[in-house]
Amino acid sequence: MNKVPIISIRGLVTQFGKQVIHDHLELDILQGEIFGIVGGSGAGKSVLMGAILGLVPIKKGKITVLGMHAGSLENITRQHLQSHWGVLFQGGALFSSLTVGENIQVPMKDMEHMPEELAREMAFIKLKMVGLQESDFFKYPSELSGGMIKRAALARALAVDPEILFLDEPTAGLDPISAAAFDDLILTLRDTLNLTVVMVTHDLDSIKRLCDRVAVLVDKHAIVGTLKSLLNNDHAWIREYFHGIRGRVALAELME
Amino acid sequence: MEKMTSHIPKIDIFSQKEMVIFKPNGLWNAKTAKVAEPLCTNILAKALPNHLVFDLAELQQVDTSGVWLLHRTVQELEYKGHQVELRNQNRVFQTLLSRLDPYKPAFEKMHQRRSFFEERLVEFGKTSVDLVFLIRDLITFLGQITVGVFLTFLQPCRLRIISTISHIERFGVNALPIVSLMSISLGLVLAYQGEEQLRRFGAEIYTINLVSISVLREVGILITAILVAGRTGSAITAQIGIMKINQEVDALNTLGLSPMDILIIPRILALVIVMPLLAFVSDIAGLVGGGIMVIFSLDVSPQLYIHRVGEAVTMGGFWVGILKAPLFGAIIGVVSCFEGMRVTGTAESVGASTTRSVVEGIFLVTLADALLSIFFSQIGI
Repeated sequence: MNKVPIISIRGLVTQFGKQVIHDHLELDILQGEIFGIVGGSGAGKSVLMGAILGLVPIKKGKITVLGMHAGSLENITRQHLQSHWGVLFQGGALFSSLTVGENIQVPMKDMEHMPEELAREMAFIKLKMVGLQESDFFKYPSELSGGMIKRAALARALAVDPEILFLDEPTAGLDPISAAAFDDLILTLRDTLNLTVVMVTHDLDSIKRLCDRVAVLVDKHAIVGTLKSLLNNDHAWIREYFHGIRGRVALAELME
Repeated sequence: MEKMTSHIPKIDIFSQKEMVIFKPNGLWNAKTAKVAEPLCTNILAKALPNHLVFDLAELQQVDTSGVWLLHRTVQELEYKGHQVELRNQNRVFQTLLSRLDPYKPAFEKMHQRRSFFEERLVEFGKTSVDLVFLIRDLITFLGQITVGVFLTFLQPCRLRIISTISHIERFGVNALPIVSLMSISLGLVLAYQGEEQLRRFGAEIYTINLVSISVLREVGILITAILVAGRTGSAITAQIGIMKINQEVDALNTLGLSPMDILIIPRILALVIVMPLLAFVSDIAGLVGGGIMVIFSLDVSPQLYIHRVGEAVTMGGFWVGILKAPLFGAIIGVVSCFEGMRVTGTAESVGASTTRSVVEGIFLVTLADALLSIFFSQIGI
């Protein structure tokens, strides 16, 4: 794995009103790695992702994605970047007026102008790749269960084989079997397509299986390291997080 | 950014005796699919010998769409009876292909489409059935409201007074400026047009009768009802609809609180209380508007205008307008709450319900107004 940072964040400050979310946060995400972001509720995980994606205005600092200045909301850069990344939102964010099949085809047709028939076939392939049934192709998002919405949204995020995949709580709300299958899928995709995956998650099993490195958001900063190195970190919140009851069960073998 | 020129997908074709070698090169991914697809279609259109070879050695980069395109082409060639050989597949190609393999789309299912006529027929049938269900549901809902109101009469403590008052403020007080403005301008227009026509008969002084009677009996209340249906009815539908999507309505039910008591009755009650008051304001504003026009163009003094209005209008005429108001308020409230509760899951259905709420509200109000006009003229008011 080469060590080129694909996303680099320097001195990021974001704030809503007077509430500062990130205070000069520094972060590098390398090409081809699966990068986890964890943190307590309200620590600014989703805001960080939003800042990288240009959805949240940043107060100070610089975010570079694929060598391009992101977070600037400049139209040309954004359009260019958007074809390089896929985003899975926490609630799926499928377009409720389109069927699942049409949802998956949106990035293919509207961004890459793929021929109609090919787009339909590709949408079908992606649909099955994420473990949905053929019959789901013609269903509307309101007819799907929570887990199916996640999968359909992942299929849309993967529609044009992006280089970077952003996942916001991908396994939350999935049953353990689906969650494990989801992890498998992410791993295979990373290995075959050389994807870079940035995931916000609380699922310690997923973190253990997938993440090469993890950033813990505490005190408005990011503490980055491999899972092993973070286990030995002395910060109170990090100790509580990894050494609490849930952490001990999930990460037992690593702690030996 | 990238130099696209060198990455354009191409297929070099080498013909040898009794076999053709295809050498795809360049980038084969989702971004170049629009260029790559015609290349594959071209191959399929050609007359080719039996033995074909795809040499993938020069393929720079592929992703799932690229692999699928090549795979699909190979499959269709094989289906035509050619013998196809894949050479020099790299690791990425193989892994992607192995992931694709179980996912071949079932073409028959994908191409299933109804004919135009069939589609229209199905649509017509669906709309008719929907309409019948809509009427049934509306009647059911009306029944539920009646029961709810009845229960509130039996146990007045069920009534949410604070919520009702806050709705009165939002639906009534906050609507005052727009209602007055609309009514003044309508009074002006009525007076202006009426005066132009009546002047031909030298009866322009009867403009005052025309304005005052039409404003008090019909125009004031109708314009108020239309405004309230558009302003408040849509807001009620959208709010209740979103609450349904957020499962707030379910939450109320599980907490043992009835959405009828908490959401619906306060809103309908507020509308029933507010509508006569708004109608009164609208009446006065309409008379003021008409008065301004009459005073300026007919050279009538304000005192005389008020006097003539008093002569033209009977108390009966005034009450006809005001008494219709609570009924119209109830119609708008019932329809908008009903449409709000019918919202299902999607953002689109909020939009559709809100539109229906306004359209049905205005339609039913106008219908009721027509029926009432006949009724009042029959009993001679």
